[in-house]
Amino acid sequence: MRYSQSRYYSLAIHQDAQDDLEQIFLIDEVAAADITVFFEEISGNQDLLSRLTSRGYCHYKDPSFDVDEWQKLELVDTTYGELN
Amino acid sequence: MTRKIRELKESSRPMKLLTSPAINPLDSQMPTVNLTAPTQNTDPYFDQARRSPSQGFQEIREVVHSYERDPSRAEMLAKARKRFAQTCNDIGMPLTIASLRLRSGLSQTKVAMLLGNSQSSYSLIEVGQREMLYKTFEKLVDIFQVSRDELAQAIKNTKSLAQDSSN
Repeated sequence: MRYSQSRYYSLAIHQDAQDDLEQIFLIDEVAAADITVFFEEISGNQDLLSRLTSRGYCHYKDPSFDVDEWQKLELVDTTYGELN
Repeated sequence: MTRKIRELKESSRPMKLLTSPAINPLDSQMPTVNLTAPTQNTDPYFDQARRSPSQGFQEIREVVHSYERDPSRAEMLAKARKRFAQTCNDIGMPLTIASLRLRSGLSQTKVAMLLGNSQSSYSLIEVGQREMLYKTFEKLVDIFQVSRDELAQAIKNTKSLAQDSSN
């Protein structure tokens, strides 16, 4: 027996981001804990993770967000080396 | 027509994020479930997710788990969850199962552990996609230190929000 169309998403952070988080913990523990909990809560919502990975997805109700903005960040991230 | 379908498929394809955090769909190899094997409180998808993180990435739950080994940092995270719950309350979000958990300063993983369940299974209850047994209800009353009425209201609100988001 196999599960059908369902998909399980996990949320992982890059080692660089972990290092940044460690630095924030040294400077501002409260802010670092807030960021960590924010990511932890997102990772517990499969529906939200699914939507965040769908191209062109927009949420118009509050809190509003546009996944295309993430794509723009991705482009900035890949060209970062060239800009510097 | 075929082109349109192809475009639609392309547009709904999950994108790979190079910036952190990374969200990884893990459906390439579906785990098989042996119906004759003894039942275990594990979710094959969750286990698979735990086993196969992308290179250079670590799952946020593992990061939190490592942080919580330090008692002072664990306390900071518990306080952060309470602040998160307070913020949700301040912006007028209705009381949900998730907000009750956050108000108690607990993570999904911790509550799932106290319930003797997997995190992935418990998370479905929090998003209103799974009904809970009466014994789970009673356990949650103890874990969250709330009245039965308050928890019942939170479950009702959770289901209502789930219906709204699916419409």
